[in-house]
Amino acid sequence: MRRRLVAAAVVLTLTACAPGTPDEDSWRGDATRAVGDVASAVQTVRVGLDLARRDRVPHAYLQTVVVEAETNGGMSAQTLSAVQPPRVERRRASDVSDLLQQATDLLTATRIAVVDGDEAAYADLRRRLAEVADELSTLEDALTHPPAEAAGP
Amino acid sequence: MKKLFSVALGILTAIGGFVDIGDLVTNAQVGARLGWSLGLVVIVGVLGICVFAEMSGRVAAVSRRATFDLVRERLGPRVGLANLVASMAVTLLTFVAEIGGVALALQLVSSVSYVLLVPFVAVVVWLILWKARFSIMENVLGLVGLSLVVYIVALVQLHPDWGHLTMQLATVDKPADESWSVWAYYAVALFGAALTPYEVFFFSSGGVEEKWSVEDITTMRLNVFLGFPLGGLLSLAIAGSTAVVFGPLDASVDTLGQVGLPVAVALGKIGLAIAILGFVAATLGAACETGLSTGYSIAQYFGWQWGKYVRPREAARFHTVLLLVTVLALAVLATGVDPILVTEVSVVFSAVALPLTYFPILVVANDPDYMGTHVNGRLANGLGMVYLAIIGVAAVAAIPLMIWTRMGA
Repeated sequence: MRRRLVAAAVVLTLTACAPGTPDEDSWRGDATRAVGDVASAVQTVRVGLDLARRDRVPHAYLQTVVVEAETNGGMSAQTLSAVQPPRVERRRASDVSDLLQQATDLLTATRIAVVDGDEAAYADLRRRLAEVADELSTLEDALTHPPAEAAGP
Repeated sequence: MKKLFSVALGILTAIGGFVDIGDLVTNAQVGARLGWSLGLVVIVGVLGICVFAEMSGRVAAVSRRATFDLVRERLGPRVGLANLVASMAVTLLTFVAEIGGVALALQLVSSVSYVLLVPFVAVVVWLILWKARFSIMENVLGLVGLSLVVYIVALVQLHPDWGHLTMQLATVDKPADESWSVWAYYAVALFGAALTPYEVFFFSSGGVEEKWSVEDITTMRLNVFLGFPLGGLLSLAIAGSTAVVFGPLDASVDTLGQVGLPVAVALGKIGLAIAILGFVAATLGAACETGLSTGYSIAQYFGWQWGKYVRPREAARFHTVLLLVTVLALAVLATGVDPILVTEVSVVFSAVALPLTYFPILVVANDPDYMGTHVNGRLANGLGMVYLAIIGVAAVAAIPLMIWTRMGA
């Protein structure tokens, strides 16, 4: 994930200006990658919580995995938010932004529970992580195509 | 009996010392994303490192001098300098990545940020480089590195679809949702990780440290041709484990913590503890090897006294280089740069530097003035030439693929 952020930072530095509007394909590529990165973070945390439920992972290890997933997921979401969406993708950009926000909030809630050692909250968090992972997966697939309104009548 | 023990120890340390941070990270990433579809690249890479390690080990055993001690003498200062600059840049990058890797592994058991652990790791590495005997350093870290065999056990316990994995391996079956450019980028990265230049510096200089002679060539060959391929099996097991756990979730691997999760899934806390021990030993061992390699290559180029077989006072400039590169690595990591990112960059640049590292070995191993009757035969030359062609393609493709795919994004 960080390598993508570094690549984006290099591009922004080289252009040395406010972000311009990328073409539709370019934005879809960026959005697909960001959604995929956040989905990866969500799935990793889900695996970690599942292992914790079965007492198969030490607390310190779980904490590190969750903190890193939260950091990486948050950075990917933030990078996409700095990209100006093209006009035809504005509606989907809003959907993407909302879902990424929901996912990163959930990662933060999970990190808080894990650092506090609040194991009673794990089951509910796992269920919510699974739901968000499914939504992110569906959105990632949808982003590989142009929006329906762009296809015309 | 003593000879047998020596051979067995050599093979075991070669297996345990084969995997470093580049192999851990790259194989885990590739496994999660592409399964075993690039397994053939690992096999080709391992055979390549066997070919060139055997050559450089033979050069050390016959001439009693390290390969790169001879490069400047045989090919002149200009080629020697090009060789030194290219290989040093990559080895330094790898050294930074390995020290960062040790810190990341320790972070997994302590929850303390790796940035805070880096100074402690750097001091430990420097103390080992300064104080520890060569054989103890190599044998202890190599044997503890064998803990990574836990990945083979984990893969079996995960009950993968062996038919599917084998089919991917045999048919180089790229997943349909991945582009050829990304697939090629990871092929080059895996190849670079398997053939990292420091491995031959360390192998040939280590031969001189251990006072190899012509009588040791058979033992050296057994170490290379049994130890390295078995070490390569660990790479395949790491890729297979992440393929089973992360592949179905469509999740990528970006952290060392994720690399350990498949072992926890398969074997629980004890398995995970063994894997972490393996992470620490593999990265610490490679940090020592890369650190020494920087000192070896600079000292050998300038004709200074080098090595751990003499007292530090007698090789003062060599030990000063070791201290300086350790401080440099500490300074780089103190900026908070992600060691995984450094690793990813180092394996790609390793591919770029390969021709400048391996071509001189082929030249020296073919020189009867140095090698006498132990000069390269037809098989070694044939394989060497084939590998130089492959290495050339990988070196040319590495940077364009890195830019084009945004580092495999």
